[in-house]
Amino acid sequence: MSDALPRPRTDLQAALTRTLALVGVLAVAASLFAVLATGIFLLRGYAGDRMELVARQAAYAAEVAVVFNDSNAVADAVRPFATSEGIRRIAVTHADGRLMTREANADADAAFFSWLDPQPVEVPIRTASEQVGTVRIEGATTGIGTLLGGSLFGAILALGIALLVNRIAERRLATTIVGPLQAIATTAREARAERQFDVHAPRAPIAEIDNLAVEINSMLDQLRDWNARMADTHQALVRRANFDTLSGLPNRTSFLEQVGNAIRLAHRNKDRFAILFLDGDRFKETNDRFGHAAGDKVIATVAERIRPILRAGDVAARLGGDEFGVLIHHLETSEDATRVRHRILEAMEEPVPLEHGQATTVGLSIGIAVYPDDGSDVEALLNHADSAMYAHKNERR
Amino acid sequence: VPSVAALSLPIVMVLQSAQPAVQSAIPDGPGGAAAAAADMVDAIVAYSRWPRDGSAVTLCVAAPSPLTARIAAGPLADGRRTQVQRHSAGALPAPGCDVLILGAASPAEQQRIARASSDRALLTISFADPLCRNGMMACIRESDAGMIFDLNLDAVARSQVRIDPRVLAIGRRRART
Repeated sequence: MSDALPRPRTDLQAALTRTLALVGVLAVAASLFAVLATGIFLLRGYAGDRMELVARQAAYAAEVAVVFNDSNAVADAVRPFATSEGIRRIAVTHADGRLMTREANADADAAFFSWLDPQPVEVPIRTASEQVGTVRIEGATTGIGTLLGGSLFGAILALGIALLVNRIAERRLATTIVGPLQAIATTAREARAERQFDVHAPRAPIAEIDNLAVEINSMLDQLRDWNARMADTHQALVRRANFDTLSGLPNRTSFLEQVGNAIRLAHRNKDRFAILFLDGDRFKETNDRFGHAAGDKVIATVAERIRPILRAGDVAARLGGDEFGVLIHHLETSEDATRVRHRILEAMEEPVPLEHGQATTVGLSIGIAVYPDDGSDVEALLNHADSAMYAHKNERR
Repeated sequence: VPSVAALSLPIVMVLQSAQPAVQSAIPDGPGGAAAAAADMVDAIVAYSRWPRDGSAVTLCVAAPSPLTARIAAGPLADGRRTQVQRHSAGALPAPGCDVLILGAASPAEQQRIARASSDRALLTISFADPLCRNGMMACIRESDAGMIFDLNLDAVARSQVRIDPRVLAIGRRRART
C-alpha cells in the first residue's frame, strides 16, 4: 500500500510560493471581474439615465419645430443632442406617424460594444395639452474602452504588487516555516549519521513547527539516554566476556586473543616475547580446609601480587581455577622472563591472611615459553609453557 | 411650460436686425395652402403669452385673403381655445381682440394698425408684407418651399405679448442660413 504513495518531490517553499501566487492571481482576476461587472452595470445605468435626460431635452427643443411642422427646424433642434456622448441615433416622429428627422452620432463607441447598449428610450413631445410627436433615442454605453483599459492597467498594477508581496512572503516563509523545518531535518540527519544525540533543533516562531522541534528534541533526548544505557550495557557485556570478575584480570579468551596479537606483532617486528603459565599448588586443599570464600581470597591476592610486578603493557590473566597466565612483551633476553618468574615466586612467599586470624601460603608452579624459540603459534607456545609448568611442579615435589 | 419672461431683452436686441423665417410644408389638395397658413397662425398663437392670460384667445381677422380663409375657432396645441371675429380693417384695433390678422391690407393700413397696436397686448400678423417691414410682429407668406414665417423683432420687443424663445430660436436659425 505504501508503495502506491507518490514520493514527494516538491519542496515546501515552492509549494507555498506557488499557492500564494495562485491566490494572488485569482484575487486580482476576481477583482478585475468584479470591477468590470460593476463598471458595466453602472455605465449602462448611467447611459440609460443620460439618454432619458437627453431625450427630454431634445423633446423640449424640438417641440416648437414639430408644432410648426418644420422638419429642417426639427433636425436643427435635435442635432446638438445627437452629437452628445452616449447617443447613437436620435429620431423625431410627428404625431401623425411621419418621421421628421433622424440624426446619427459619428462619435459613438465602436459597434463592438453595441451588445452592451441600453434599451432605446422613447419620450413623447408634448405641448401643454397634447402629444405632437415622439423622440426616440438609441444610446451607446460609453466609457467601456476606458473602463477596460483602466481595469486592465489596475489589474496589472495589482499583479505587480502581488508579485512583490509574494517575494516578501517568500522571504518570510523561508525564515518562519521552511528554515525551521530544514533546521529540524538537519538536526535529525546529523543525529542519525553521527549517532550524536545531544544535538537540538532550534525553537521555531510558528507553534506547530515549534511543537515538532520540541518533540524531535525530546525524542533525541530519549535516544541519547537509551544510547548511553546501550553503551553501558555493551561495556558491561564486553567486560563480562573478557574479564574474570573474581580477580579483575582478563579471562582465558581474552588472554589467548592477546597472545595471538603478540605473535603477529613480534613476527612483524622480529621481536621476542614470553608467556608464563602459573598453576597453584594445593589450591584445592585450601578450598577444602578454609572454604570457598577463602579460596576466592587467595585467587584475588595472587592477582593483586602479580600485577605490580609487570610493566605497563604486559598482561596478567586468570585462565580458570587456580591457573594464571602472564604475557611479557619485548624480551631482550630469555633472562627477562625467568626474572619475572622469580619475582612472582618471591611475592608468593608471604602468607595470605584469611579470616579468624588464619593464613595460608600459596605455592605456584610456573612454566615459561618464549616466542619464537619455543613455538611460533598460540597452541605450541601454550603447550610448551604447560609442559614447563608441570616440569616445575614435579621438580618442587 | 417655459415662462415667456425667459426671453430677455438683450437677446432681442441682438436679433433686432435679423429677419427670422420659418417654413412648413403645404398639404396637397385644394385649400392646402390656406390650411397650412391657418396651422401656422395657431402655432404662433399657441407659443404667445398675454399679460392677462385666459383660456380663450380671440383672433380678429380683417381684409381677408385666400390664405386667411381657413382660420377658424378651435383648440390650440397648449389647450387654450381660439375664437374668431371678422372685422373691417378700418375698425382695427378693436377692443376684445388678442390677435390682429390682416389678409390683404395696404402697407399704409398695416403701418397705421401697427402703430396703434404698439405697446399693447396685441399680437399682429400680416399676410400682405413679404419683407415684414411694416411694423407687424409676424408675417406669413407662401413660397415654393412652403409656408414661410418671419418675425419683426423690433415689433416683438415693443409688444406686451411675449413669444416663446424657442419660436425665436427657429427664426434665428433661418436668419443665419
